[in-house]
Amino acid sequence: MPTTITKHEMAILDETGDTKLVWDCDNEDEVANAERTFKDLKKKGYVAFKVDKKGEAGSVIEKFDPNAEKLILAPQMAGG
Amino acid sequence: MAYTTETYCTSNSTSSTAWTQWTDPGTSAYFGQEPWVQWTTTSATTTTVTATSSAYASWVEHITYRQETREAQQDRLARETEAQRVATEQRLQREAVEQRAAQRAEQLLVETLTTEQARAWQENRAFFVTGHKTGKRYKIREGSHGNIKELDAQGKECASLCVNVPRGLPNQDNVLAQKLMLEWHEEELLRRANRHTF
Repeated sequence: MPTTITKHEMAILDETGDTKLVWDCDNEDEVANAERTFKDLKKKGYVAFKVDKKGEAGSVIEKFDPNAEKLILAPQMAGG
Repeated sequence: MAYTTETYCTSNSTSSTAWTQWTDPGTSAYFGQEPWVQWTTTSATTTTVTATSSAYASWVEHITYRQETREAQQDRLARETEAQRVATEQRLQREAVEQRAAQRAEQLLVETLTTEQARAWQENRAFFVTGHKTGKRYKIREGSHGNIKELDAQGKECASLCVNVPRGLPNQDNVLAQKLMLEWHEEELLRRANRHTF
């Protein structure tokens, strides 16, 4: 019976447009790598958003969620 | 001395014109000779005074009529051409990188917009969002600064919000961050933004 592998995605906004990091919930190494990246960016002041792929639901998160469908990390904004 | 900035004409000059008498403020040395005729060179140990009427003319001639050999000219032109080629190549590479970044950012933005926002963005390069906390309506247009407009109850623009991601990111990333902040972290965006009412 084929196994359905759900890929989860983190998009980090940067000078290249964005850098994507994909992980599989069943792969401990990938999850650990994604969580480490998430924590590093949060320390740098990035704001993390959990969004659905239709763009209609979202929230700000402080802790890494390995089951999130899609995360977008944006650098801290400043008044212009 | 005539061409140095330390040397200037003083008010106690008895000469009829400013160009004939100078005083060095550092040493109070007085130069009675016409400065454009008198040419003085100073080394660490000696001072040579050239009392000639052609010092200035010789200097100008040296600057203006210095001849460049054919080999030196070819060498210079080759260097200039190469420098221009390298500069053009670097500019094109930079533009290509920025274009690829903008395309990636555009794709992520459109993926993250709602159907209605994506349609508005494709048509007008602008879309509307509702503030998560206040319920206010905002219009975000393409741009990096002052591109968020706050709308009043009648839908008229009543204020401009200036808040942006760091320089170097494509405008589409800026717009995406602004949308996400307004929709899910509005209070933080309002805290950081400079707000200008109309």
